[in-house]
Amino acid sequence: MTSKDLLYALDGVGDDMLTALDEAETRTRPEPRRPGLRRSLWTAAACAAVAALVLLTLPRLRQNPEPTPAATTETAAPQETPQPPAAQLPQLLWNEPGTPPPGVGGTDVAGVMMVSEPLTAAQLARCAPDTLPEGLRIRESAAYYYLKNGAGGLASVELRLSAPALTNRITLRLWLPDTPQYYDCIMEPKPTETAAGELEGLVYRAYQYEYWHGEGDSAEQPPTRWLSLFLFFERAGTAYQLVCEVPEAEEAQARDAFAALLQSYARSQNAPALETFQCGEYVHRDETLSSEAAHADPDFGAYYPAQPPEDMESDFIRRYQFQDSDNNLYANWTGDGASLEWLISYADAETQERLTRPEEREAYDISLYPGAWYQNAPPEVRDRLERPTFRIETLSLDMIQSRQRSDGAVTWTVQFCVLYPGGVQIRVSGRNLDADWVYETLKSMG
Amino acid sequence: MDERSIFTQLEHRDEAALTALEERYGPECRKLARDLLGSREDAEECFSDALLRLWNTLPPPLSPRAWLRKAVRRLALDRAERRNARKRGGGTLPLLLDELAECLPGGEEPEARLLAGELGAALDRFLRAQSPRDRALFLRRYFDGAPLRDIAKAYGMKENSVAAALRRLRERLRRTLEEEGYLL
Repeated sequence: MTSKDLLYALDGVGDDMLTALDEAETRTRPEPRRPGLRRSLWTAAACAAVAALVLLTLPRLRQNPEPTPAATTETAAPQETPQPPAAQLPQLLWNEPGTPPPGVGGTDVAGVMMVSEPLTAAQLARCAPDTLPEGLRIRESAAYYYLKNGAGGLASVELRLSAPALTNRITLRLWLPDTPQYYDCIMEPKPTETAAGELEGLVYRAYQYEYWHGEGDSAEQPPTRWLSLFLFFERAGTAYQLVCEVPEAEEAQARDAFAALLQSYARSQNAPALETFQCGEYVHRDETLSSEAAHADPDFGAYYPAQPPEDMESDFIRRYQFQDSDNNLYANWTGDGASLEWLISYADAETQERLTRPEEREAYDISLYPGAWYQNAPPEVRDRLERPTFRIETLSLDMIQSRQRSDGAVTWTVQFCVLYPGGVQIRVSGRNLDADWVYETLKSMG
Repeated sequence: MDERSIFTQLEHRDEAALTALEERYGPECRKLARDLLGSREDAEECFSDALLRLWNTLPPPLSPRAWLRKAVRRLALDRAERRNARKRGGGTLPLLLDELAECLPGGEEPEARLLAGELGAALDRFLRAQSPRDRALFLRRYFDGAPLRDIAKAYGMKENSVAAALRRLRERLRRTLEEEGYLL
C-alpha cells in the first residue's frame, strides 16, 4: 500500500460525511471580521483626507512626458523604456485587499452568442488614449459582439497591454454603460467594497483582492501572494475597466501602470464612439419553431417525427444555425415521467469517429458495464459507448434496447445517433421511452 | 435551488442544471482542485471535465454535489500524477502524500493484497469513529487537500494546533489499519 492508495481510497467515504463536513464548518467557523462603524468612519475620513491631499498635490503632468505613439497593435518586443519613478505618478486609492467577495464569480454566459472581430486601426486609435504611458504597449485588441439572428450589437472592446515590469498583461475593457456584460472575468464588486477617488476630473473606483499560490507548509516552496487589481471609470459616455493579476512583488508597478493609464485617459481627447461599432455579417439563426414549421424545415423537416410519442407533448422546438459549424433542429417531448430528446443535424467529423457496427457490442451495449458504465468500460470504447452512431441500414430494435437501462422506476435511453444516407443524423435520448416507437420512427425517415 | 431540484433537472436533461451546479458548487470544487494542483487553469479544466461527466451520467447521482466533489478530486489527482506534481511542486499533493506515508510502516512499499474498495470502506469506518471535529479536519486536509492555513481559519484554530491534530489522527489511522490487518 502507498500513501497514494490511501489518498485515492478516500473516494470511498460516505457522501453524508462530506455534507456533514460543511455543516460542521459552518457551525464552527468564526464570523468574518467586518469593519465596525467606528473603523468605517475612520477609514472614510482617512480616505477623504488622502483624496483631498492627492488632488491638491498631484503633479499635473509627469516630467518630460514624451508622447508615445498610441493605438497601434504591435507584435514586437516591448520597448525597454524605464517607467518614471513612482513618486511622479499619482497614487490611486485602493481598498484593503481581502479575499474575493462572494458572488463575484461571473455571469452566466449560457445562451449568449458572441463573436469577436479585430479592431480597425481607426477604431483602435479611438479606443486608446491619444498618448500611451511610457513603456505600455497594446499587444492585442478585439471587439466582441452579441449576435441575434445575424444582427450584432457591441458587447465590449478589449485591449491587452504589456508593461515592462509586469509578468501579466493588463486587460483594458470598454463598453457602453447600458450594455449587459457577460464575461466571466468581469468581477465588479459592489460599490461599497471599492475605494473611490478622482484624478484630474475622472472619478474612479479601485478594487483589489488577494489570493495565494502554493501551499506554504514547505520552506522550499513558500506561498506567493497575488493580487487581482480592478479599476473602473467612465469618460465620454463609455465605461472602462482595467484588470491585472500580479504577484506581490509587482504590486507597486501594476498600481503605477493603472495610475498612468488613468491619467492618460484623463488628458486624452480621444472618444471611442462605441455606438458606431458594427460587426460583420454572420449566418446565425436561433428560433423557436412550431411543429408545423419544424415539418416544413427544408433541411431537417423530413427527419422530424410525423407523430409524437404516445402520451407525450411537444415541449420545445429550436432551430439553430451559426455559420457552417453548427446547424441543427432540436425538439423534445415530455409526459407522465417520460421524455424524448431529438436532435437533427448534419454529420460531422465526429460522426465518422463514432460509427459503430452491430457486431461491435462492446462499443454500444451499456448492459455489458454495470454501474457507472462510462468509468467501467475500456478507455478505447468510451467515446463511442457514450454516444455511438449507427447507420440506419444496420439499425435493429435490439441495438436500441441495448442503450436502455432501468433502475426500477425509470428506464433511461442513453444517447445514440443514427446516420442517414443523405448525411443527416439524428441523436436520440430520453426516459421511459418505448423502444419499438423509437425504432419504427427512425426507420420511417429519410 | 436545492440538490433535489438539481437532481430532477439532471434527470430531465435540463441544461439549467449545469448553471445551478456551476453557481452552487463551482467555487468549492475549483478550490478543491486548485488546492491539490496549485493551478487555477488546471482546476478550471478539472471542474469542466467533472461537470461534463456528471451530465453524461445516467441515471444521475442522488447527491450531485458529493459526486461532483469526488469527481473533481479524482480528476485533480489523476492530473497531478500525470504531470508529476512532486517535481513541479504544484499544490498540496506532495505534502499530503508525505504526511499519509506516516501511516504506513513500510513507507511506500506496495501491498498487493489490498483492494481499493476495501481500503475506502476501512477509511469510512475509521472516520465515523472520530469526533465530528477530527473527522472534518481529516477530510478537509486529505479529501479536499486544503492548506493548513485555510483549515485553521475555517475552524478557528491555530495552524500548529491543526497540524498536531492531524498528526494524532494519522497515528490513530496507522493503528487502525494495523489492527484491521491492512498493514503487515
